[in-house]
Amino acid sequence: MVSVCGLFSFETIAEGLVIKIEKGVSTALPIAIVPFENNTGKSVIDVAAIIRNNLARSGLFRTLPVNDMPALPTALENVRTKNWTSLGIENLVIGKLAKKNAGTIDIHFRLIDVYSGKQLLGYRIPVQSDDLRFGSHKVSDFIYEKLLDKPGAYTSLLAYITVDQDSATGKVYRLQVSDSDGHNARTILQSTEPILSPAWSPDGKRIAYVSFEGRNSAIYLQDLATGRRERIIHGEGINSSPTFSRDGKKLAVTLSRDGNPEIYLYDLKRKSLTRVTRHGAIDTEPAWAPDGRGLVFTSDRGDGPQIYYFNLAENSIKRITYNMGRYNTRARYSPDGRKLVLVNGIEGIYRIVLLDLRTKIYEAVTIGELDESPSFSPNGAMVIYATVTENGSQLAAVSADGFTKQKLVAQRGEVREPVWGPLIR
Amino acid sequence: MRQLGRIATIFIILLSGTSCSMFSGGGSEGVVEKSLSPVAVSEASVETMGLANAREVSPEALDGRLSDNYNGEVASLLDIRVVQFAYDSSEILEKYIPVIEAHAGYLSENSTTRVVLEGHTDERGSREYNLALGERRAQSLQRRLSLLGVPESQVSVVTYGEERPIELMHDEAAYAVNRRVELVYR
Repeated sequence: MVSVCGLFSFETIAEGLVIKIEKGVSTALPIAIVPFENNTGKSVIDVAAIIRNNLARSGLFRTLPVNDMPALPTALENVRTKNWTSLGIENLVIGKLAKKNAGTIDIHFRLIDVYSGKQLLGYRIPVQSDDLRFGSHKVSDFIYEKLLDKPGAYTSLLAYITVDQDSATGKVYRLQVSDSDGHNARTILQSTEPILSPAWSPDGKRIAYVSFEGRNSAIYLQDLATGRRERIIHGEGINSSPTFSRDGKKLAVTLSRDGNPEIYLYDLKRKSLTRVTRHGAIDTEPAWAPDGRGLVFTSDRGDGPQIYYFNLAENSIKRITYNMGRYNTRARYSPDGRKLVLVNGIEGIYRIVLLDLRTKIYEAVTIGELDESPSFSPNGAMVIYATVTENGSQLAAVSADGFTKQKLVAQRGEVREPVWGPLIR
Repeated sequence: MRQLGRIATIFIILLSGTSCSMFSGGGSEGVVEKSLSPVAVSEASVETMGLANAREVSPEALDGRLSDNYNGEVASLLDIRVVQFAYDSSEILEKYIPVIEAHAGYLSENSTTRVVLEGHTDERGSREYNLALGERRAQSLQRRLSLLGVPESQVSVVTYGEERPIELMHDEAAYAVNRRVELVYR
């Protein structure tokens, strides 16, 4: 396996690569995605390249560059498995694009195990001709799930905030939604006042967020399809930090209407509030445990801001972060509930840290100086976060093992607070 | 003569203080500004105005104003509308106490004037925690004003956390400027 490694180069950016090779991740699956044959009669985006980037970004695949491919088959009958096995390739993806009718393109793809010489998967996927990207993400999901036996998250969406300096109006804040690779960004809210803390509903149909458009923070809930929205929580003081419960029925929020930031639960149907925390310190940034039985939140009731767990049934609180320095904030659970990803600040360096809740072992997965707002992909494989660069804040993703990093498409202005939407089924 | 000059200067500052129904602070977008603000008035220009007008005012009237809580130093302290803080702290630094006392005096004297305390933080760490920290800073100032006898109805608090920095650089000098409470008069 080790001898094979040298044959591969990675299409993710350099900083993740060195670490990866040093740590010898021989478990990454070698795979070749051959350029798809284009029979649509038009020039189209490079579907195979999107799939290649998707798989490589996970850190769980090694993708063979096109220049190193011994042949470029697009049909089963042209595949010569020895070409690929001699390169250490285990899996091969081939495909074709065909115009179905005016508005639709069929993506045909096949996933082949070159050792057994068998097709593992083969599908025809009709997609809107202007949304081949979505089709490419769908193919990526199929391959990921078949080979790793876990759901792919490539068709899921990201939401994040951008900030632009407009010469006429000053700052412009936008809430945007994009594909999981940062492409295909669409603005769903634009404001001259700050927007923050977007949160997905579990069904992916709504986004809650905080907007300062009324000169104070208020929590809004917006329907993605229609753009209709409702101001659901406003009042004296802070109205912020919404996150949905896994059943989508409640929001955990931070309100300071009683004079001090406390965690509350908001019942979306009854439109009623229940106070959770009672403490003179700052309590904020609630996030639901996947089992729905409790919440983690940030509080500075102890030794600087630290992460605490609130058990909803027992009404009890315990501190989670110990011996991790004096600054631990903004925790989010991994989908399996076993880990937290959070922001750890030590001596002015703010990094993204993964904490194993059982072993209490934690490790930094980023080296940035000002990294913030980490969020897991819905399949737990990736963590997306914001990192401050010379050009302001940008999005970056790191595989959950910390080995593979990628900066997402450079966009105009600053990009903040990425949150990964749920899996689309 | 020296004495008169000083009194005249004080008077003019007071006049500008009383005649303005509102001070504009930094960054109060969307607020309708009603009248003048001495925010950026340098000491030199205040002095010049004072001397020019001094010749026209009567000494008796000046004496009447002087019996109030003000003195020359207090008046100039009112021009300070930004109170800065240490990292992750909402404790009022010693050097700002005379500034806060000056504002408390002004608000007590002008019961129809309202002030908004806008809490801000530097960009480091998490946004939501910073939102809370900004509020705590503003509340810390609010408590001070209250202890100094300013009615609650005249003071309100809002936090912007790290969302409205003054300085955009990513260094300690910029962070120090951004960790602040702004007093915005309405």
